[in-house]
Amino acid sequence: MEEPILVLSECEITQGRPEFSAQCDCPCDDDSGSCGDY
Amino acid sequence: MLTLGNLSKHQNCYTNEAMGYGYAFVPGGNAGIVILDRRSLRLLSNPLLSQSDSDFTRINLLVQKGLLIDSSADLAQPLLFSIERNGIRTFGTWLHVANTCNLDCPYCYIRKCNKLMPEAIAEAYVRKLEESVSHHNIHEVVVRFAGGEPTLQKKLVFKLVEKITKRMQEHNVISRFALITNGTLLDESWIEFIKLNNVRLSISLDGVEKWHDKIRFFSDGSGTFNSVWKAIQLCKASGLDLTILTTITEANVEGIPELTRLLVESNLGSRYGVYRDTSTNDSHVGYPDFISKLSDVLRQSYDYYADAIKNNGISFKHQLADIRIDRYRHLRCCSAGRSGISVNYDGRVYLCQSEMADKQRSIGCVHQDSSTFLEMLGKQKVMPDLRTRNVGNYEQCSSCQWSLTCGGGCPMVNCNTYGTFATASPYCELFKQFISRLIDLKALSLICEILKKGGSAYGGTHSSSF
Repeated sequence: MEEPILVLSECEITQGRPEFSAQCDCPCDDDSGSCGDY
Repeated sequence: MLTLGNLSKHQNCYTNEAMGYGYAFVPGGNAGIVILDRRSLRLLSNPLLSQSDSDFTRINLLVQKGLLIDSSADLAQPLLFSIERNGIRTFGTWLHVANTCNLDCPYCYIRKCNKLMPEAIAEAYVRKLEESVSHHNIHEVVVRFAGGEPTLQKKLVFKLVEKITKRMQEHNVISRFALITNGTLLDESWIEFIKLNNVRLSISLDGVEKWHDKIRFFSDGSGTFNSVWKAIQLCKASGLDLTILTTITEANVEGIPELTRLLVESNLGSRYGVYRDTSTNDSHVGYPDFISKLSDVLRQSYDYYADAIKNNGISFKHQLADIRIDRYRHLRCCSAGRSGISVNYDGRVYLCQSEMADKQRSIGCVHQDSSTFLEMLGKQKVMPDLRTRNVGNYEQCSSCQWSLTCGGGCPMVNCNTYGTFATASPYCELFKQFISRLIDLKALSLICEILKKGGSAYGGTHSSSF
């Protein structure tokens, strides 16, 4: 039987839930506005 | 119309397999980590293997996620670097509300003087922020309360959050807040305030008790672990999410595996910062030894993390230093010099809080300068190229597969080590060793999430364009 198709980005898997990345508020946090829309 | 012969895997795409699934990650791509069935992984390596309708569906999805690139379209990496928004959407402030601390950590680089930010300076800061957002069409501000120890300024922080929220709303600007604290003074009133105002909370913890207390102690020399851990438990009991900030130095590096076990078992997110004291040595001598020790402890730590993800369903919530495995392009390591500033307790403005020890490096003042914050950044002569240069033209970084995950590393560390910020971090070799490991851990966590949902296959929407 053919393998089911699965091509899923992390947002599609977590549905926007934030728990898959550490919320980092160190001085090095990147808010340069150059990395896409939050 | 896509032609299979024109398709190839993105030149910076990393792929691997775990638990019967494949996964792929393109640094700077907007899909982040993509989990794949094994057939899709094979087609990613060789699209010409496509035979069936379902294969063509897979190919379309791989193109949509930015993993397969149509070589007939000009989507090469150099173009990625050149695309940068001219306008600043989000503006960040590191607000140094207290230049004093109830702790006496030996590695702290802040030159403290027991002074607090006066209310008049805080009000001048808010006015300057208002001028800045309205002059430059900024959509969002992020204010990080720090110091010294910001919780020594409870009344001021509470008042500022209320004031900034209200005044930014009047300009139709979103405001977000963060508190970076040693945790020892957090009580129920703080926790209530943090929850109510959706403040992101980061607490410093540098090891389990025996390691933490060696380097993070009160002024009388007694260790702080127990009071920090109590505060963490109080936060968790209140349902408050928080991140642990750990600074790894030569003094606590050996305790990191033990700390990792504690944090993973407690389901706490973490960021491990790396810090080698260069105050008595301005060269890069000594980094290789420190990096070698770090590599050993991180390997042990991440082995433990991987087992916990696989066996106990723990989510991966961790960042190592400046490395970001996410869906954004990190053209710079941080906002310093372009879209972020640090404001000292006395109103002086700096590129970064690490510059505050030297008044000569101030770029303006909230109460004596008529310029907006962005104008200060535009005309500053301290490190003028910070505003215009990015990792795409840093020495050693422009051709690196991973440059959009770390942005070249901390510009101040680079500058102190090599005399220029526009080069690879002295931790570059460490970063290169662990970036793929961090991708593997996050992918493992995502795969476990899919399996929790029953392992059902799904691939999003697509439209056939063959």
